[in-house]
Amino acid sequence: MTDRNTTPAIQVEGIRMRFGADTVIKDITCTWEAGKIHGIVGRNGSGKTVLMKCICGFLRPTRGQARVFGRTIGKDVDFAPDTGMLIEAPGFLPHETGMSNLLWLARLSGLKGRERVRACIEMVGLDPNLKKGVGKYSMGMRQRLGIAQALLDDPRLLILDEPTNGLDKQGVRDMHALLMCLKAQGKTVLLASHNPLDISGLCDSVREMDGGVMSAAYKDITI
Amino acid sequence: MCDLRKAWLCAEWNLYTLRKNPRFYLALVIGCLLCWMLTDRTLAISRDFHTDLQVFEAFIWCFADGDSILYASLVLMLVLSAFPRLDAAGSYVSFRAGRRAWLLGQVLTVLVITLGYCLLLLICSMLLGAGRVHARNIWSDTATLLSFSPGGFDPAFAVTRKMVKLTLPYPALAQIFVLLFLFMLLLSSVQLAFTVLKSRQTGTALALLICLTGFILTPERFMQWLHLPLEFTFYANLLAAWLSPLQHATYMMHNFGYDLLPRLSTSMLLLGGASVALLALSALHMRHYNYVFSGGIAHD
Repeated sequence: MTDRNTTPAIQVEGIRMRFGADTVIKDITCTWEAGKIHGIVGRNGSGKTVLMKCICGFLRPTRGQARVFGRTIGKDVDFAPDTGMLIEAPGFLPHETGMSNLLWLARLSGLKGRERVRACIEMVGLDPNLKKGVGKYSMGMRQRLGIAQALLDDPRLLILDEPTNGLDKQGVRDMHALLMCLKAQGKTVLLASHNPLDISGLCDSVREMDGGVMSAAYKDITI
Repeated sequence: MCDLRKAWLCAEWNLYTLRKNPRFYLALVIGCLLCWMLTDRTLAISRDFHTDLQVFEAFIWCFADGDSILYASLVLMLVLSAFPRLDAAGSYVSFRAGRRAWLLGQVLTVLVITLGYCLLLLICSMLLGAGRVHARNIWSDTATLLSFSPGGFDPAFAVTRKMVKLTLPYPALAQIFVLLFLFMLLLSSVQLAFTVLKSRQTGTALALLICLTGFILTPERFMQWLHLPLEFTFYANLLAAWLSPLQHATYMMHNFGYDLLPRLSTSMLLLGGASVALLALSALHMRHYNYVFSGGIAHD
């Protein structure tokens, strides 16, 4: 039994990830507290996405392990428990509407009815009645739908990789407001961006990744 | 129980995505065309000699033959090459379902598609013969004509006295249907297992390789390779029947009680066992599978 209040949201212990001869993540160890917004910044290819995929359970690390709410990924559970995620661009069926895409995912999560799906779509500023297929959505709209998808199960932890990709200024502001609101509800957010400006004002802690190595946590970033 | 529900939902989602997949419709059309082309010889004889047909005979005569099974399987590969879905959309589904339920969902998808396709071929062949068919469990005049006419109509025809003498249409249909289904299931399992173990390309290539062995490992080739005289055809038949997966699915290449060819039950066990082993292997590997999706819009 784990204590909800004291268990860190994410613990990463000596994670190393190799793809062939390439070591993409080099023995990262760190802990992210629950109830806060944490940021990871770093250039493209610095290993942020791979680390997030390891935490979510999509990739099995070559060495080390990740724990989410005290449960070891790949041992206790297949994928991170009580977690919503948006990693890289969201994958949706292009001919289906946003509502239809999310309804399928909601069914898998055991959610009944359309209300929760509708509420999540509205939460990210999209119209749940929009009849066009996701393939015809703009990049920003798809990104918003991806975030709605992550919120679907009302998870305690959100793992968001480049959540502001493709969003206009207003979209970025809305996203920040949404994340602050989620934090106020006690949720934990781990978000990655290649642009420190995107997240510096938003995060309680920020770490930088470079060449598969992660820095110690610090709050503000000087550009 | 929860896993089963999620697995079924994964399968349902997979099948739902076929709605907008042009390859699926292409395979349906080609499957029907193929059925029409392959059954035409039987139907032509029935037309020309004004003889009746047992309702399942068009299917039986057609798919008792290895070549027909092979062509039909290749068409099925067109649909199954889309599975398992390991793109971003599939990965998001997997995240919610869990690895085990997701894989079980892929197995269910493969089973449903393969069974559905076999049924399509059966129904198609029944419709093509409509008008001059009966449903009784006895061979038709066409079958008698094909089996016992002096010299036969076509030596390549899968109709032989052996079948007409030894069995009846309903059990023959059941056995041919199961063999066809199991061979297709084997191809699908190879495709699924090696996509998970290695890559989609490897999975498809190996499934095609099994089809290729069907072309290569025939009695005629063994006769050629081993320079066997005609009186040793039996040994070439034996080699082909035991070594080629396709010949295991070919009804006529079986032991009906008086030779050393594999028995129907042995072939069914081998084809089914190989499929189960491959699916078990993919289940084992799935626990450590690395999802390497790169996001973006999925292809339906």
